[in-house]
Amino acid sequence: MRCDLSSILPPSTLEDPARTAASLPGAALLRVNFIPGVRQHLGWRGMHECACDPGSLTTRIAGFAGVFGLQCIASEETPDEGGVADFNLSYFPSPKEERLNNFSIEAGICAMADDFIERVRDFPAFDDLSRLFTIAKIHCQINKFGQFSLSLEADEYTQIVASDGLKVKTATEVIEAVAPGECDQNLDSLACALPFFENLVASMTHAVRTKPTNLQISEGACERHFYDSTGGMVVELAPDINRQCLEIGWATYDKFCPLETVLTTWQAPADLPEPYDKASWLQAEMTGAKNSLDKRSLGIKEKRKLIVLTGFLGSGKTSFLTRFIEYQAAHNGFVAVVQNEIGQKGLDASLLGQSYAVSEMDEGCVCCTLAGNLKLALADILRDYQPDFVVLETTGLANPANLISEINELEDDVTFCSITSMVDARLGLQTLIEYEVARDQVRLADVVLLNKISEIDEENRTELESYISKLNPVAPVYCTDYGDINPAKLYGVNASWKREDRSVHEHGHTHKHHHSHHHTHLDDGISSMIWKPASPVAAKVLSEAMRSLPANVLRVKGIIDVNDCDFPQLIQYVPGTPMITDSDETQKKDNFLIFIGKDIQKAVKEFSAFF
Amino acid sequence: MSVISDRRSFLKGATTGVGVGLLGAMGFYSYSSARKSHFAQTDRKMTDIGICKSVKVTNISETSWFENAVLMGDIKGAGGLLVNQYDYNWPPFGNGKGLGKGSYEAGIQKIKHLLPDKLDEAWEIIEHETIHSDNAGGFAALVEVEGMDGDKHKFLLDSGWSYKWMDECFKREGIDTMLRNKEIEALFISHEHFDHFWGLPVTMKYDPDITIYIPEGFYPEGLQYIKDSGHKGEVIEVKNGLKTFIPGMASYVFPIPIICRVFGEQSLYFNVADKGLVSVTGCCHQGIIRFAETAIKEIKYENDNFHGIYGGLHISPFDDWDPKYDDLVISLRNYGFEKIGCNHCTGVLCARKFVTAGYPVIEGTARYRSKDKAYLGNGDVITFG
Repeated sequence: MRCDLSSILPPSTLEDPARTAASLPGAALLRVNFIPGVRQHLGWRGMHECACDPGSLTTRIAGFAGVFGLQCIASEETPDEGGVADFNLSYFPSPKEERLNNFSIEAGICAMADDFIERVRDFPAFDDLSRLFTIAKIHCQINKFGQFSLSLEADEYTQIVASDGLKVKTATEVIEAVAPGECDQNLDSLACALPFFENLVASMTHAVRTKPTNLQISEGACERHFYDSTGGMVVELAPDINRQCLEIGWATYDKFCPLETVLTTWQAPADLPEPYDKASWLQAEMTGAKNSLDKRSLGIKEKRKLIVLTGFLGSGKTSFLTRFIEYQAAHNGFVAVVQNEIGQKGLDASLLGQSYAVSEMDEGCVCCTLAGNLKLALADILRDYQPDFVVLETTGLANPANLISEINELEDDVTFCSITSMVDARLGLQTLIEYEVARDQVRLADVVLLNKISEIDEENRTELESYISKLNPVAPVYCTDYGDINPAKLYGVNASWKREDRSVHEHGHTHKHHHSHHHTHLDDGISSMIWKPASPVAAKVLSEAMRSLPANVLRVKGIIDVNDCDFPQLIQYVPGTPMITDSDETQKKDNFLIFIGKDIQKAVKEFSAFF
Repeated sequence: MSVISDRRSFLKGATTGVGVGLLGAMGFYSYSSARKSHFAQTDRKMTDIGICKSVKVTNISETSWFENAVLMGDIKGAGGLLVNQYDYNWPPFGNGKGLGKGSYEAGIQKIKHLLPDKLDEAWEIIEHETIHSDNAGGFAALVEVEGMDGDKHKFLLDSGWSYKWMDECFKREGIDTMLRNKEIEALFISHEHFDHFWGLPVTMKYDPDITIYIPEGFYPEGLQYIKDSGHKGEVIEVKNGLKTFIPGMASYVFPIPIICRVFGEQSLYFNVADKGLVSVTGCCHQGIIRFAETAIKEIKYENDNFHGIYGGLHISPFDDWDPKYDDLVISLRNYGFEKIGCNHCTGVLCARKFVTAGYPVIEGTARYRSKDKAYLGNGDVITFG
């Protein structure tokens, strides 16, 4: 049994086993990251090759606020014509992350520096970064038969003790940062490295189109390091901590290099051993089709994302759209624009000359006259062009409230992604005060873009922002000119879907029914309301409560702690379609739903009665 | 002396404003082999590639395909961006079995006997056997380098895709005659992609003896295709890294994975007297930053100045983990190019943005099916130096 690695590396590399071992992990990661649906599914949240050291890369993964770094440090040919390569895995924690406390004080100071992230992008060029943040070793071994393995070796905890303590001098005082005999570093290295390794294994499986066949878990002695004020260093065995090695082989590779004690050995087709018997990253289903190297082989039924773009005439929707399309095109993404702008010949055909956008639809308001045809048109577009995004550009006068019920009908074809509302900064306040439709556009938005921002002064801007904030306390507001904003900020895997600078808790007033009605004097129709559960809710009850919502509830969104779920759940609802998915939030600090709709108080009260 | 309770909040407070310092010995990290220093080499090598007087690039064709929607539909329909390009059933390798069900062997079998002389006849078969043969165009450029002694050297960069379209383009720019007269010294293939390489028989038709430089990383099908196209000259596989050809002209092979199972791209660098570095790319799959950083690190050039760039400027196809850096990539301004001729995979909207942003983009004439003046289009010429 052998693996065909030619889908990852060319013959000129494969004939050199040392080079193959050194290039295999990185090349597999880059390949799977070419495809948006696949990279998302495998858990990647962005990747970057280091300019200073091609072959090294930095990446984010789901559930981690920080950045991982992978660097090949050595590779050689083995006597039996195989190859082996060693990699350092680093984790650069976010300064906001709890885990930073477990790194050394020196690492903490380093991570707090303004240029930290800048330096992380090119971490191999900075000696202190690999010294302070390396958490594990990864090995890649390959033999002359095309069989290969990946392994992860890390301490359960990496401890460094300051025997004489560690003092830190600030501008005003000297502080004892670490008491004598305490840990300067006490890092859960294995737990931190494992999710990266799992992603790596799943990506390799995807790239070579075959599942791992072998696995071995072994344990060995772990060392604890002590330093003192003279600079002396003592290394002692730490009997209470283990070092673990997890080795995965493909194509029956089993020449593992275990630590002292082998705990588990597995070979297909036996059932996978604990704790990996349910590990999805070891069992990615491959259909085996020759041409199935895309999302289908992972069983990803990725629906197109639907963005509804609203905003008054002249607010800059076309400029934004142009930027959006350009960005997607540069990332192998493909966009279909469905539009109907009154009195305007759409985004001119010439602007879309590259046929990024497609179907010219009849003039008119999509909310009314086209409502019946939208689904048909969309089905055609999806079939003919398989776009990654569908942008429904509404006429400036359209009330997205009317549209939302139509979106429900599209649910089989697309995933509802965002209502993005553009506001002309110059005229915005006046328009918002005068037109109910404009207010509704903002109320229903998931993201608000304040466009032409440099044309107003600070005072007007604050006034406008505060008005928008009253209409919609949760949507992030971004200031732009010419609609020029990186779409990854809005819809990318790392996009923040809620306002960061102001906590939603400051807005609604919590009533005794643990919900709050938000602001009323502006709205005679649509209003919003925040609801917080008193305790974690049961998934079944939540889903039942959402299915029972009346039609006048147009949107529900938020993050909720659900019993038996590791991650807080992200809730997205348009009438008839509740969506409950894992959120990327690692800390359970938010726990609320925001309801938007007509006569919302009654609906929320009824909803609340379920719990 | 105070004691800290929460490190993170302490460090956050302490590190804003005046810096904090660790007191005491800090040599302790040298204990572990895992923490051994693995510095990336950041010194500039500054290899001297010599200088030339000027570089002139004639765009033979930058329209690799005519309808992006059709191409993307084909790729997705065939199974996605990682599928082997020879399996698409795209021209010229067709077996009549439909999208994603082709192979090099079956495809070449049907046309091999007609290459390279009877391309019209071959194309008729291809139209019958392949998918969307009308959508195929191609990328090719004529590069003319003037040495300091006044000697002129002509090179081809890439040979396009469609036999039919490329033959028209070669005739339009007089490339057919130049090849027949052996005026063109060599053909550089930037990478193995269909739109840069599969039109090879069109060059072979007029000069089968021409020397071909391919980047390291070609697959067996590609190497066989060079033979099957009727090539009788020398094929030189350029190894990863920098290689100087004539004074002032070098190529650089980047070992990078590219979509449709291709690996490695070769870009051309020139050192133009008094002006600085000029680069000519096929697609720049290595990304603009790596492309420019490599030049800074590896090559010595006049005035330490980036002068000009021609070709497709590919932005990284990955989502970066920090969106703000995607914007930086596009900000070519950081590198201070004085003359930009972009087309092909750059994206018209991106090129227009360069124009709007005031970058020194040399606009084209939008003739011969090039779609926008922001592109240095088909039949347009750009001169550096």
